[in-house]
Amino acid sequence: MLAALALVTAQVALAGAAYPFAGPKTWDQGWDASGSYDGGVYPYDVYVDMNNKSCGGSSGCYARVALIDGGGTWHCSTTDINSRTWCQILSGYEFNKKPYCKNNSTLVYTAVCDVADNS
Amino acid sequence: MSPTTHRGGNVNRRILSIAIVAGALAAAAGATFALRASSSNEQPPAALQRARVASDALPAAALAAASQRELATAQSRMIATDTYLVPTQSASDLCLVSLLGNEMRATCNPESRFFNGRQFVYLIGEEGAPSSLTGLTIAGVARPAVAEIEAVFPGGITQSVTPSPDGGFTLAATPTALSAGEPTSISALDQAGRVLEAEPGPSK
Repeated sequence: MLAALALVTAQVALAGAAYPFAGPKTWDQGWDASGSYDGGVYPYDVYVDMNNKSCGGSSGCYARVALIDGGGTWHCSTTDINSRTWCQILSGYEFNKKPYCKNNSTLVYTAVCDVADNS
Repeated sequence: MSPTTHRGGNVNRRILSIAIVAGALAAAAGATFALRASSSNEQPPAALQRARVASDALPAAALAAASQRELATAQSRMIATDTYLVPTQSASDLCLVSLLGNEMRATCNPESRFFNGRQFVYLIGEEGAPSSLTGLTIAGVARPAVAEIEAVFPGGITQSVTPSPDGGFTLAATPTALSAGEPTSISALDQAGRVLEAEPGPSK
């Protein structure tokens, strides 16, 4: 009984939890990283972010995040110069996709990229 | 003392040690936050200083996802069309949130230095790869001194937008601008048309 309760609690705790697919590490200019395709099994509420950017808020500190589908089409692409950049697809989309991050700036910085499947 | 009691004593000492270490870390974190907060004279965005009204609420479709991302949805402020300011539940960060269709984009900075000495905070939301865009929207929030936000696209194509009373703005690229590509610069101008700050556009 207790074991079952602990399992349920753990599953609830993990639902929606973001986990890193790239970093924390140093990102040179132009470096990018992709996660794995999800096979379309997580249709809703998929989230990708780049956070803890060491140059966050400074001029030129661009990062880009996106979700790229199996046909190579980009969705939810977001770019800015701040500490944390993220995008989340809300209910309604259902397609095979992978998370993507890039240092699209002129600076070298440290950061980590996370993904979360919340379905 | 029985082995069981002895083990229990070890456990208690371990718990006490963990509690002391956790307390010390929490105190250190609090001190760090206080230092950051006290070292910043930055005024928070104007929208956070006014009373919240019904229209400040995030749309129902975004509420659950925003909460899951640890946004304090009960404190949101709508500052322009589909554009919101929302603190995180821990109040450590403040996020600019842009809703476009079924996508929720956000960019965040520490709340105590959200503008980081700058005149405006923005994000660029795009559909399609950077080299073959099918949509581009710049959403942001500007300080009170900013009267206009101007985006310049390749070929000198220029678009501008006036921030709302809350400082919020949303600028959707026209088809002509979109076909030219991502903006090469985004600037904040004052009432006299002087450039207060110019930020280069992103690299591919």
